[in-house]
Amino acid sequence: MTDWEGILSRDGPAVWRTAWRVLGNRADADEVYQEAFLAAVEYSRKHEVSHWRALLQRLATVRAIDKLRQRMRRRGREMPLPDEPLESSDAMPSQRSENAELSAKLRAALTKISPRQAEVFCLFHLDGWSYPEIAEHLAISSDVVGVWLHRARGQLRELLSEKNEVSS
Amino acid sequence: MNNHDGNQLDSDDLLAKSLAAINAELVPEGPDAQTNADLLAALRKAASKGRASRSMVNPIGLLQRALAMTFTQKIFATVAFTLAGMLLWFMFTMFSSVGYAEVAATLRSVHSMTCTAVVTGMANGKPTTMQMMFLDANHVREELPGSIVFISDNAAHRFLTLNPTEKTATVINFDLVGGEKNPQQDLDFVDQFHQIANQKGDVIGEQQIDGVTAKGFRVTQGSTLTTVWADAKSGALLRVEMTMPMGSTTAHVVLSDIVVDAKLDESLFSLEPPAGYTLKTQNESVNLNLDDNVVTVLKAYSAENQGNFPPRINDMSVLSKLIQIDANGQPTADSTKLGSAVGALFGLLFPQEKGKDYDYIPTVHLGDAGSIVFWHHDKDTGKLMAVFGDLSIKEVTADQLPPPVKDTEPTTIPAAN
Repeated sequence: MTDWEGILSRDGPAVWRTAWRVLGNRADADEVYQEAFLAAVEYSRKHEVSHWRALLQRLATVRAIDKLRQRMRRRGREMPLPDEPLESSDAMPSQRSENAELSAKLRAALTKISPRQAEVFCLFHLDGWSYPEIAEHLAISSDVVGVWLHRARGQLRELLSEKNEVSS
Repeated sequence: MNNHDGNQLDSDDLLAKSLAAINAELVPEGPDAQTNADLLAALRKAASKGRASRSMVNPIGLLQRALAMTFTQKIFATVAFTLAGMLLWFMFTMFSSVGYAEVAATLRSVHSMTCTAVVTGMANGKPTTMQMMFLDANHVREELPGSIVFISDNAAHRFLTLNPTEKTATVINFDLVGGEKNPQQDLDFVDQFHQIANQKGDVIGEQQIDGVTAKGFRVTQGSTLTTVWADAKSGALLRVEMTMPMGSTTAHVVLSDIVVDAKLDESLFSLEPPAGYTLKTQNESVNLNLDDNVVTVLKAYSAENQGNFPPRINDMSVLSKLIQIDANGQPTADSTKLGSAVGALFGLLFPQEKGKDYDYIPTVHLGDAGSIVFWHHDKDTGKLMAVFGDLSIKEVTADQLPPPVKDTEPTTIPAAN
């Protein structure tokens, strides 16, 4: 019998923060968090789970990217509704404004690249997973992780510079 | 898991800067206790049923979304600001109108009150329970699910939202403009209390509430149907039930656990954020001119819907979807104006009766200069004002008004047990 209470208490906050980093708002993070756990229930029926946090973070990342894409489809050119950015009060207002713009653009750009590449990008850059860890959980080689990451970065750079040119 | 394999990005790279911006955001600690409790219940259910689905978890309702999204929160704040006042207004005016002398006498001397309000019809049909506290009519504190707290100083037009989970305090200063009357007058509930309504309350019978024989009175004010249950012997207030249309849905509000003249510490109504909270201050301009707000909403909706107007003029759930975020992740100037207009419209139409005080004709199309899409009777000037399909605002005469349009009528709330 799985100790869901223990998993929630031990790994829940980290999984929720994974979703929040991708989405930037609480309501969507709550939904994705719940979906990730329910998906983990289904997964655990067919597979043995040795590392719950990693599984849940991966599921949360995949669903968070889906959620970003849904929002973009539903709202056309709009970005997902973010919470008011919570940043260090030390930051200057101009810096906070610039950071909010950069975050929003990157989140929007993530919806334009392949979901698989976006997933690898988020796990590496937002959750701090290593190549071998990503490779193990996605059942691919570290070389493939490197290739996808390289492609993701290239496409994201292009998308960000396009947006930059348009806005300037 | 913190091995980046030396894969550093060039610090001048726009991608690196964007990533740094996301990583600089202060991520909240985690989900709130209610979300975890709902999820744990769903996980146990899924484990026992042999399948898991999203429907097992309580949906994130409109209210929760409103609370979670800071910009939408501004709109909700406007609504809550109005709702709290209206609750008082209905209660005070109504008691004076039912001829129930003991109850009215008690309420005339009310200085403070606490109650539990259960609202259904705003959050995917799920009931939302909040604790409400009123001090001297102008100070209101509402404690909502998720430990969110709203505190308003209605006289100062200031509003404080506390989010204990994220340790954030948001002060909203409302700058009320427009409208023929002094806005302060609209918000002075004590004054409203003394301007007793002349409506008649119908006695609807008696029933037992918590072992006490309660006498019920029913009053219709605007589109809101209110039923009051008071102790048949002492006149003490036991329960108030209200039903009001809110756009496409009907909201039910039940007030119970009512304590009149409760001893309330003034610190509960302080607009100073507690120590350790990150303070944000917002200044919101709210236009109280009804026609201006109608035009703002119709313009925004029709621009996104091929010139069609919304099915209902005060449907928060539809109108809040129009809010747009710009490339900087901030609400656009138009959306800021729209947010205020939606909230103000909701509040301004709340006490008015559709078909009598105002009407809305959704079948009119943008640009139709000869058709009235909205009209209302301005009680201060005595004028009939209309908004036409080309979004012009003109004074009209009664014979120019279109036939009444049928809309959702308030339904009767089930009798309390």
